[in-house]
Amino acid sequence: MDMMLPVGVGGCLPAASGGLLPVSDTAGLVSTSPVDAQTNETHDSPIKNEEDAPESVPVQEAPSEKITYRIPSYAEWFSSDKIHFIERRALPEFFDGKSLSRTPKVYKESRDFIINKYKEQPERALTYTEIRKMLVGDVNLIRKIFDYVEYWGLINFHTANENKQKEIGTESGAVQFPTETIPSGIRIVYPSKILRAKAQKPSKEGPSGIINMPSYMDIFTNSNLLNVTGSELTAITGSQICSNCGIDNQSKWFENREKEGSILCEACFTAGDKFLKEDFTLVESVGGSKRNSVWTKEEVLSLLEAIATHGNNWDDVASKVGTKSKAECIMYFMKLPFGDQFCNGNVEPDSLITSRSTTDSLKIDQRNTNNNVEFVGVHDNEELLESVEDAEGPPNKARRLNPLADSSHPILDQVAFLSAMVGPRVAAAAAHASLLAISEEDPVAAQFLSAAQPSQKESIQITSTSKDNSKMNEEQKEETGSRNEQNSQPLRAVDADTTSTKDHLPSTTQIRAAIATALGAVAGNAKLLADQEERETEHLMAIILENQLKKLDSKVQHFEELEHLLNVEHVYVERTQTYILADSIRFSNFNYTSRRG
Amino acid sequence: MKGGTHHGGTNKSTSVKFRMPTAENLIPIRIDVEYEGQRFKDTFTWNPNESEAEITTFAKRTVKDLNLAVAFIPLITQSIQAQVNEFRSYEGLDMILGERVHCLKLDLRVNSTIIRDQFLWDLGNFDSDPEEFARCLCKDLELEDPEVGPAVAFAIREQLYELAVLSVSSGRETRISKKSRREWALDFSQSSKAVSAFELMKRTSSKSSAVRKRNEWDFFEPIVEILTREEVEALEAREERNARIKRRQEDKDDLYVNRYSRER
Repeated sequence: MDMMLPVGVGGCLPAASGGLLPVSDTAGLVSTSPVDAQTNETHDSPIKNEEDAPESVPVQEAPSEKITYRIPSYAEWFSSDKIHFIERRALPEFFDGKSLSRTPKVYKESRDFIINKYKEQPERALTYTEIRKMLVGDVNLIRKIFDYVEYWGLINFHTANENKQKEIGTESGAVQFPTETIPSGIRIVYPSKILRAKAQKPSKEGPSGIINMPSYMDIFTNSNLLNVTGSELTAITGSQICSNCGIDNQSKWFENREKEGSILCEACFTAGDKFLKEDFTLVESVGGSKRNSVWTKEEVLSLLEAIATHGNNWDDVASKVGTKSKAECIMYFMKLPFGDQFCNGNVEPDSLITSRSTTDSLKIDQRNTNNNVEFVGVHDNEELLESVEDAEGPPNKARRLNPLADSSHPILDQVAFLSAMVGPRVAAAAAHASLLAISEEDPVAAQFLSAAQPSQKESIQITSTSKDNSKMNEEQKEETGSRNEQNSQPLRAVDADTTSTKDHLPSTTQIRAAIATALGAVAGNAKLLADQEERETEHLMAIILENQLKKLDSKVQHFEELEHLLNVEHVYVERTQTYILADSIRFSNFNYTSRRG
Repeated sequence: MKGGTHHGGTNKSTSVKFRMPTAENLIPIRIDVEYEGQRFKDTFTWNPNESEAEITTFAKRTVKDLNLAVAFIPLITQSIQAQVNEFRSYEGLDMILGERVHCLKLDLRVNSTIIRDQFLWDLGNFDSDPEEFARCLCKDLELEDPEVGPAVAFAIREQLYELAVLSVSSGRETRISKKSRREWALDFSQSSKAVSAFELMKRTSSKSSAVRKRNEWDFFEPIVEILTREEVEALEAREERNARIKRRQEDKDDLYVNRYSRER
């Protein structure tokens, strides 16, 4: 299969283009183009990639046309269209901007020239003395570049490895590029193992990203969390094979930031000074092999059980759940509704699940209520008010929460929780406002509510006996059911749920009212908090201003002191001047007189 | 020559005082002394921070190793001492920092090997290493004579030293001996031309490339010639004759100079 790839002026393929082709065993990629070797120019020519290059064709067998340009695997960071950080670090004199003739451009030009020169005859070792005559500039700098390029095996790697290659056989870290003619600055640098691994999911690959230089901090703070690319890769390959030693790493591996798929095992990472360590990220695989983010019911249950028994010891929790990582457990628990309550209380997992389902229906409900648009338009909750009545006068928060917490209805639970956050008066006001809003919107509900209300309309407390309540509820349900087709499945489920409970039978309206109340309460609470925050800000601002003033004051004081000192000095200097003048006069007088005398 | 009052040890990173513009502050020493018809010629590098006593030790050792007459000891010591002192007299001066690319030329014969070369050398690059350069050259050209490398390195050092001296001695009386001035005069004129051309190229065309023009490659390529024994002998004889003529001329020069200065 041949592929035609357009190649830029730089005459090279981006490094990650290795992902473009599935590659067979040891054969590397090929980039060949008819190139005018004499002029050593790079063309905008389409490059032919010979993917099915005969893998077993070593250099020696391929007579004259097929010449292999290889570079070592540890130099795979190299890319001829840009200057890598490693190069910047190794040859800082070109990048400090202090010289006219030592510029990155000159460096790149020289480097590319040397490499291209080598590629003209890769079977022959290139010498410095040969290169020297062709490049303008300080010979010492040219030698530095040459040595550097040679050190990394970008040139003369083939010849240096010739003998080694024979001994070891085909198994070597080198990537081979059988070519028909001289490549014009084209190279692909993936060790074959990585290529194999990646070939299974070629769609994942794109050109490698921008140079990303993480600090050590980044690397080690991330170490506990699952690296996304790492997990992706695991999904692809199933195991982590070190590109250096070929060992399959189970638990920990280091991943190259720039070239995904380049992986090192821990031993190679610590031993290898050839690699730029900043380029690699520690990735820790976490236990199990299954890494889908979907939580089954059983998993949720075991998670909650584990939390109940182990508390905050997430390692134990994760091990008990088994199929999920620590981070995933934490994340999921955070996402669970009523997380706070579960932390404190003793709640059955079952009710949790129902509460989850009701949260869903709650959402739908909210949509159905068609947003009584402003949150300020607050709504009512009979349950709440009932409880307030029970308590005879404004109760403290804990007490108010308790009777409601008993309620088996999850929405009311939530309302109770939310309303517990605000004071009783705020809650009452919220309830009142919500009643009004609902009445306006829905005359039937208004009827119902006004029937329930008249006894204590002015007062905050609204009574309704549980009997009344249930009756009304039934009525209301029928009416709303006939009228509103849109209150469909989930809501009914909720209704069914609630009707099954004996004491309280909240209707749709009630639920709506409850939600509205809750929202109102929250809004009120938010307002309170905002006010408090504002006061706090003002207070801090005042403090800042005060301090600024103090600072200015002390500055002024300092200046005054200085001025004073200056004055003193001035006086002293003047006095000294006078003395000196007097002295000189006396001296000249003396001279004069002595000369005369 | 005046005694060295300045002590050495100019630090590369902090100071810009005069020193060899190379990584190692080694100065080239050339010895050519004669005693009763016996001639001793040698070149080597010397660390100017070495103590004075070391010079005598070195001279004694050399004389002993080479079975020379004992009278050579003071001659060698004086010769080294004079050259070290000359270097020290510059040490207090400031060097011009920054890039100064000069064209260095090699044209030397070591035993039977003649090597001619030309290359650009940045005088402002204090990381340069002539020895390493020479070693690399010999390796790449497969020169087997072990004396070639040191000779090349020495030639480079000598030129660098002269250039460095030239750069600090403007505004100060040039202390280069007449002999060396005569020897290097040609090269200086050429190298300065090369520098200006190089600078010009850098400034005028922004498109200038780090790659040299193809037709210039040959000028900057080292040329090596291996002579036969006969050729070497003939050459040595000629050199000897030339050297004698030169020396006679120098003596005459000195005579004139002395007479002239006395008249004034």
